[in-house]
Amino acid sequence: MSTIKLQSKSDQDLVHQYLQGHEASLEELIRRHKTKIYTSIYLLVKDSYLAEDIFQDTFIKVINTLKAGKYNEEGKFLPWVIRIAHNLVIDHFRKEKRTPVVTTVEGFDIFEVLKFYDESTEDKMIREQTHRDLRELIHLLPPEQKEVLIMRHYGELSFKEISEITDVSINTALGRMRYALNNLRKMMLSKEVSLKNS
Amino acid sequence: MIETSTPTTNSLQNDMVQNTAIPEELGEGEQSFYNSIKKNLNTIVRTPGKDVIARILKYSKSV
Repeated sequence: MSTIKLQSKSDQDLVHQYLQGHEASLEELIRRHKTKIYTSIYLLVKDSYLAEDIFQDTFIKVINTLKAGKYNEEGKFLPWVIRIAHNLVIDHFRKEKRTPVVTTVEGFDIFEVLKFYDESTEDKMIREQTHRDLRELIHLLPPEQKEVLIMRHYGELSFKEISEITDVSINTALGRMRYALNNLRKMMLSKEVSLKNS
Repeated sequence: MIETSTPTTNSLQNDMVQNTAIPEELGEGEQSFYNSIKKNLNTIVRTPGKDVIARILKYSKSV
């Protein structure tokens, strides 16, 4: 099947095809969702190498579950994978018995690959600084607020799905998102981060 | 025969209604701020290396 045909398939169709032995369908699912899943993991662990390990373990679990015929077809694919990734992140911190730390390891950044040819050096510096600032502000959020923001934005999960994954009420999940946004806004004001420049 | 009725002020019942009726929405100000930073949140995304994806696909073929 051609790549274009695969791109027009729904996640559910791709899962079905994969279960019938069509390996390219898995490749398309990964291509489609890798950025959201990897970013969700990276923003929680703040280490690109560790994020890659957890990303890999997530998909190994996905593959094993699919091939064992244990995938619940009623669920959406991305929220399901995000749930697995989230559980693996929690497992990692439980094993390490530590809170996330900032590392200096810089991973593969898609925006370093996308070239901004028309950009002046000053504009580029401002844009890069703004990206760094926003990442840092997200890292400064309390873990439970950061978690909800990441799952909501990058995982496209509903508050109901987030509440089920994090084992809290919908109201609490919604409240954490509100706190996350309010805290981000306050930090941006105090640090004078201008998002218009990015 | 004893006639029974459930008062509409039943607190447990009202709490249940309230919990199931929680809208999955943010307040207007919060939603507006969220909308304003969505683009920026999308610009800090990262992607895993090609090697990781190659390893995943190799694993899939091996099982």
